[in-house]
Amino acid sequence: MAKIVHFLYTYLFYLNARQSLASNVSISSTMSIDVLPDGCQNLLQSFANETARFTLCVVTNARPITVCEKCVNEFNQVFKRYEEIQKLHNNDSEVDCRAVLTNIDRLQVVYASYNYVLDMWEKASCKLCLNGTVFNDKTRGVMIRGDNLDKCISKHINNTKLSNTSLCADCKQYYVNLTNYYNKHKNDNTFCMDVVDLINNTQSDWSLKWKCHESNYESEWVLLVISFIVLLLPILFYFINWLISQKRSNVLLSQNRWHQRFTSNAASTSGYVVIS
Amino acid sequence: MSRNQKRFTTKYGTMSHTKKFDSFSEKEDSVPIGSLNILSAKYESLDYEVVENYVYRDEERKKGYPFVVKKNVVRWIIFFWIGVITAAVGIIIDLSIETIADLKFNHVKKYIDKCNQSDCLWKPYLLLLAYNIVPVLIGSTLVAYVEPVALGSGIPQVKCYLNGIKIPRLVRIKTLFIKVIGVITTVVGGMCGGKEGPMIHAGAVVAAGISQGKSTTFNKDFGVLNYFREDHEKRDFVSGGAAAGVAAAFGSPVGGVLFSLEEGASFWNQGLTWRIFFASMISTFTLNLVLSAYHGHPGELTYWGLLNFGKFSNFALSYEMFELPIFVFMGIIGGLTGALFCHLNYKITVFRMRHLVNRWKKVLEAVLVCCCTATVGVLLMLWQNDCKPLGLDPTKNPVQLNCNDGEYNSMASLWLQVPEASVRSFFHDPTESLDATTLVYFAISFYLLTTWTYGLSVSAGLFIPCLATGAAWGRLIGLGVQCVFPNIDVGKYALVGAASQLGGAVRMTISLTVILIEATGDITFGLPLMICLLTAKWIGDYFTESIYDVHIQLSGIPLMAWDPPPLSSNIYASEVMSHPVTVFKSKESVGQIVDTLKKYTYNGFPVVDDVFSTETEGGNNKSNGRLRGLILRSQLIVLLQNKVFNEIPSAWDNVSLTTFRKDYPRYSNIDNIEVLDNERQYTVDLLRFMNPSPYVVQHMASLPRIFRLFRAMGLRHIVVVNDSNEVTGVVTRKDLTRYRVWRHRGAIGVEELKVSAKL
Repeated sequence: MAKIVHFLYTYLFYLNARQSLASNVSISSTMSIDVLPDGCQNLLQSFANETARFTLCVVTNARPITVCEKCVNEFNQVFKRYEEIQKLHNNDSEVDCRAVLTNIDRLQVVYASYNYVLDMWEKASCKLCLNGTVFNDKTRGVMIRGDNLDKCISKHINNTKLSNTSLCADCKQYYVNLTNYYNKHKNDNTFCMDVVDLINNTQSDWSLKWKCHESNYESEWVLLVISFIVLLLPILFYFINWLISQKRSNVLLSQNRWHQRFTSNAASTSGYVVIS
Repeated sequence: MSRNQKRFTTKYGTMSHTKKFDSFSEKEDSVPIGSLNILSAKYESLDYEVVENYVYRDEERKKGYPFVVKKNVVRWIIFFWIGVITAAVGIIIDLSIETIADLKFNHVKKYIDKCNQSDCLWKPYLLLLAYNIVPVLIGSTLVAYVEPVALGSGIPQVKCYLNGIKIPRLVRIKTLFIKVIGVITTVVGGMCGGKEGPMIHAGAVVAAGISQGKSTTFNKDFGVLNYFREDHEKRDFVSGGAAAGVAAAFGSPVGGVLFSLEEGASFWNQGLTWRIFFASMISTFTLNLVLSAYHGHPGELTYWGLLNFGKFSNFALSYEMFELPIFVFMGIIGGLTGALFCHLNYKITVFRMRHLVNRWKKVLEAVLVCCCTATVGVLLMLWQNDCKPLGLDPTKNPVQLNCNDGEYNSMASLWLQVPEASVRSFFHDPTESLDATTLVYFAISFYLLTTWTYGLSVSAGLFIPCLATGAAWGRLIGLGVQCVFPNIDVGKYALVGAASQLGGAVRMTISLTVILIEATGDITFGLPLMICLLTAKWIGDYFTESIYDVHIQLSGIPLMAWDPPPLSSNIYASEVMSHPVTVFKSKESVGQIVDTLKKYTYNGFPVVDDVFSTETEGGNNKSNGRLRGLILRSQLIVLLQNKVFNEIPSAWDNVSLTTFRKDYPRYSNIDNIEVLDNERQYTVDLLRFMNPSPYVVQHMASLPRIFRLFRAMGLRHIVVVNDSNEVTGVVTRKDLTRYRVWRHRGAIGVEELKVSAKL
């Protein structure tokens, strides 16, 4: 028995080895064929470079987010290059370059990279802020106010004579200016990630880093008293009702029933002959 | 009290072996309000059975097959319109709630934002109170004073209707109006109520309304669809309407069909199922079409239900084997909390029945509860300072309160939105957006408030509040599980928690599973949902009845169970039936008929041979003569009204089925019928109008046999005859339902209920 098993294993191992050998050969043989004509290869190379540059730009500008401002050129490059690839439809060479690059295999590297770039740009909603390659007016309004606040803060930090408290007092107008401007415009979904992030950072810095936020509600006695009364009312209501209500009860109706329990030795309810 | 109970909750099997049955009438004549072991005499059965008398046969002979074809086509058309109009009602409810609630929360938020010095929050708080009180006051007043049957979710009542019980005014247009306004006001008023149960009721009313071609509320008869004016047809349509209501509420057409199947519709055939499915589909489709267009995606069909759980992201609802025990555990929690919910609500309801009788008290109570709901919300917002950074996409109305700039209070965002949106937050918000403590506070407070709210004099269901509570603690468990297995999605646990909580309270099985599957749009999660619902139901059933059954029992509605009580085949017809039967001779004098109808409240009278009939005196066992047929009270009243007497031959020609249908469904009272003195001597030939072949059982028939016949055929009366075909008794719904099975803590038994007078 053991022998047979051993034999079987050996056989399986042999089969397996042969198969993997065969597949190795086939892979190396396909790799050796050069499918890309020169122009195509160049295009692919430059697309790769553009994408890499965009990725580099996006990641380096991730914190604080300045993606829309800094990477708009890179994005446009990627976009342009992809368009070029798309246009390569009627290439005079025998191989259709567009088809080779974009949809000949399952991986679809070019397509996927392009999608990634596009998706990133969409998510950052950069279109909302940009007017060509520069910020539009509303965004610039936020940025200018943000810069003013920054200037004020950095002035205070560099100037050691001024303490933190005066930072809050002095820069408050800029801060309020910024947040009010933002709040005024934010409703119609007008800002890209750059602005939103700027505001978020500024606000959290203002509250946490510089400790300038004043807690809004220290005491709420009026509210507490009112709510206490409101919560007490139902208890009173129930208690009073429990006290004053009379005991009520349901009248039961008599049911008309056959008086004797039916038993098998009185098998007939008729006045006629019992057939048993 | 306990002594009496001991006596009357007889242990099954020993029932009446040792004692006579007449003990009720002599020993005890009243029970306290809020007893579970009574049936109210107020409730009657529907006449589901078709009376095949001569008139009916005449009509059938005249109509011919084209009529059958026409009727079938019209039926389909009606089911189409049931779907469309039910969806329209749903749309009205949904959009009104959305618009008004948006207005309210925006206003309140604006006030909170404006208030930036100390001791000023009471202004927005009072504003919120005002925003809650006004709608609740309107809704509650309408429910309490105009149409009390619109109270609550309406699911128990629709369930009873489909079971074959006539609930007065349940399916009137007026009720629909009150219900719609009631739901909108309740949800807008910030109470813990949902709009799903009322949708089911609304669907039922719509179905009953358009299938009849007339409205008593408007006193208008369109003169069409006369042939559907009988309980038999109406009940089929109502089951379709209820299904369409479920379909519109949850976007689940299959769930709607199964709801109708699970909760009612004794007669269930393939054709009816198919039509109901059609109505449900149409309803879902219409709702989807309109809501999608309203929200700016015309033709996209993205809003497939009123209660929209939203799409779970890819693979969020995939699960692994190790999670199943956790789901079972959550099912157990859901069962326990559900049972506690039922018990607490039962206690509160009994208190309300006993001590809060006046209508103004009911309204006042509703207003107080809505104030408390708002107060609890506001206090929790201030107490629990759970601050989260405002991301790119925060909640609809983020308020800052005590948080730093750029943050919002997540507790406040839960309370300052409709509960349905909170459910969605629990399902879909990222893990970090809600703290564990926030969830704990929310779950506990919402649970208690829901318990308190259900049964108030407002119309609102408990699906959404239960789901919100369950989703909160489910998400909490999800957070716990995430500490051990970091890769799981908390939204999934929120869903299971929601399902368990709801399942523990309402104990629906098939339909609820399918509804939740369809509402989430993910069939792969069917098994976990089923597991947790099953566990929740079993655990819950161990302790209490379902919340709907508790309310049905408190109202004393004679609801027929699916099956006869177990081990009851040694209870015979002669024991079950009502004994001295009031019968009519086949040719009866008008005076006798009028007197009998005035004296008794019975609805069906066996008609017997004149030859053998003897004077029947109460208590004596004499039988009544041989059975010829059964005549209904409503028929007799119509006969008297039209003066169809043997002595006036001209009246005979005008009597057709239309005469009988004209007054349906509200026949005149016998007291309103004038019979001249000289007419009292006239006679009526009942043979022509009675049902000549009523369902009959022998007196030896056992309880299960009668029960099955009654239940399956949707009967109202079964005549009991002896071996010589003489009438000895009549079995009605109340005679059968007074044997009720109770299950508690694993024990099971049968108790015998008493019949109480109308309240």
